[in-house]
Amino acid sequence: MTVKIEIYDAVRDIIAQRGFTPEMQTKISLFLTAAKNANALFLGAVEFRPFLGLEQQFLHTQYFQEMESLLLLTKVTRWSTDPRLYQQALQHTAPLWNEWRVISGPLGIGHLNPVGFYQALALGHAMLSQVRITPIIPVDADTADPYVIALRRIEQDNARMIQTQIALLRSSAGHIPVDDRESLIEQKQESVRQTFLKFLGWLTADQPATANPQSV
Amino acid sequence: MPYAQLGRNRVNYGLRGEEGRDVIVFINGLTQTTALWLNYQEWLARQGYRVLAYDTLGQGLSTKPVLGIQLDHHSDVLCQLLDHLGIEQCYVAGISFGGVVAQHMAINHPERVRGLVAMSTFSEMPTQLEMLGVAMHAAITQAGFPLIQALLMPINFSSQWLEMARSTLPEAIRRGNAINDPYAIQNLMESYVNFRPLTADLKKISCPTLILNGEFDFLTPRICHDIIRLNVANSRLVIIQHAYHAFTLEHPEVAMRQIEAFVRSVRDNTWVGDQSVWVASDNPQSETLATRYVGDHLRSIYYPIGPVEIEEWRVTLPGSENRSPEEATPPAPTSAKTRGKSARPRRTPAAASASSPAVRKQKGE
Repeated sequence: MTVKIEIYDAVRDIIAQRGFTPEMQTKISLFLTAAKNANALFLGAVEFRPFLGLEQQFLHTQYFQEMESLLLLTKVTRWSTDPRLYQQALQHTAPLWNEWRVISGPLGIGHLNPVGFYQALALGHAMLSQVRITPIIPVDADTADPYVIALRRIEQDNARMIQTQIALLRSSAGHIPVDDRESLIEQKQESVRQTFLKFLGWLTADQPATANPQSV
Repeated sequence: MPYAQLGRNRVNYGLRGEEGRDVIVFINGLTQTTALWLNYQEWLARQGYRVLAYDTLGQGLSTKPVLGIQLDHHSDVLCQLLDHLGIEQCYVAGISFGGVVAQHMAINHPERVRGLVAMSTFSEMPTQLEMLGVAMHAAITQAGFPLIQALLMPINFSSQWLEMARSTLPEAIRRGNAINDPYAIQNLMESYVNFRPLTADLKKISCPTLILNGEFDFLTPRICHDIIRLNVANSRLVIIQHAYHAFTLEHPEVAMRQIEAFVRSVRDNTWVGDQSVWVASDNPQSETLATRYVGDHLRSIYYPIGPVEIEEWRVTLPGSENRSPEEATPPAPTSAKTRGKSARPRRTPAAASASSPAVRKQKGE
């Protein structure tokens, strides 16, 4: 399911009114970096998986693309100095980490079995497809603003990166019936979507009317 | 908007008009949603119809399968939705991608279709359309959904309309970007990888069929609609003046009028499906619904059938300087000549038709 436009509109309206304040940037960047880090955990782990062949090439490439996105975002973000934001962010990012923890299992090797591997791909697809930030950018936002550029660039990169998940989800686990695979993927989509919806709600929660002067 | 739970899929739909009326179903183009048919639903409901619009799987607020969906499965889903709503028969109107689904409905589920409206669509892919499709797929996979939007705007609409809407376009694009999930649109595009042309099956369509094509549509050009016309016996082709691919959005009053008149004529048994070609009146308030097309409808310029007195602009051929002064003098540019006597070989409409892909296909070439 798609996030309803009204939810995006509510966030967009706040940004149109107050701009991309350090608080807003901090919230967005903490969530995006968590999503990318959770995917990167799997991608990094695949580096050590033997006999993966061509798939490893794609996942290896994506790993470094995710790293590039993370670096870009963290470099352009004007971070807030309000420690509460970082604590609050944990509530919103924890479900993403938990999704990975469920797949990797207590020994951290769950992704090495075929079903775990497939679940990890599905989680990556959900992260790249459900976490879509650009609809919150007001249409009259400064197109030269580094933060706006970064958000757009990251979503553009996501469109390229997700091709790996699309191809592998279709071609892997052929022994599992299509409906079962679709159900498994849908669970991850729904989980990430619900987390993303709560995060968007957080963006519309009360925050200072002016930019935090202590921001860095 | 209500949802119908159809097996593992949820389908978002909107239904207007009282039960017991004739039902018209609208099927979206690739990046459309049910919201874009709202004015059609309201107006047609006021005319006494029941109007259903819905998001196909992969669109709007309906389920978006990640592993993709077979192209001909969309018509099965529509049948499930009709069952869910207790609708036995309907008029099916589809545009572009939805036009292909509508044709599938008429071919695979003829008992459900009382009449077919095929708009800005195709039954087989001319090379231009195929190559544009490949380019748009490359755009969505390499640069994301915004590039598809940027490409589709000038394909779908006229410069006049775009200029008029210029101030609101950025917001419309933002909303389109939010509503559409790129991976799902990509899946819908990729369902055409194994596209099997429908042309050979079009002869199975016996229901009244109205084919609507924008005058300047270059995504699904005239030939696409002509192939449908030539292969569906009970059809008429109507050209929407001044329109491009998305004429249902740019000229809604004209399109609504054509669709309503078509449904009413079928209901009143006055429909004539004679494979003729017409030009829609661009005044939706006019009692003239359309005028018969004069000339070769496959051409973009007026090309009359038969010898007609037409003014010709004549100049001397290059290299004529060495001729005598009398020979080198250009003839008067305003002299009236009979077209049929022109030195330039003329491609007759009959010859044009004979060489068209549709006719070649009929001949089994």
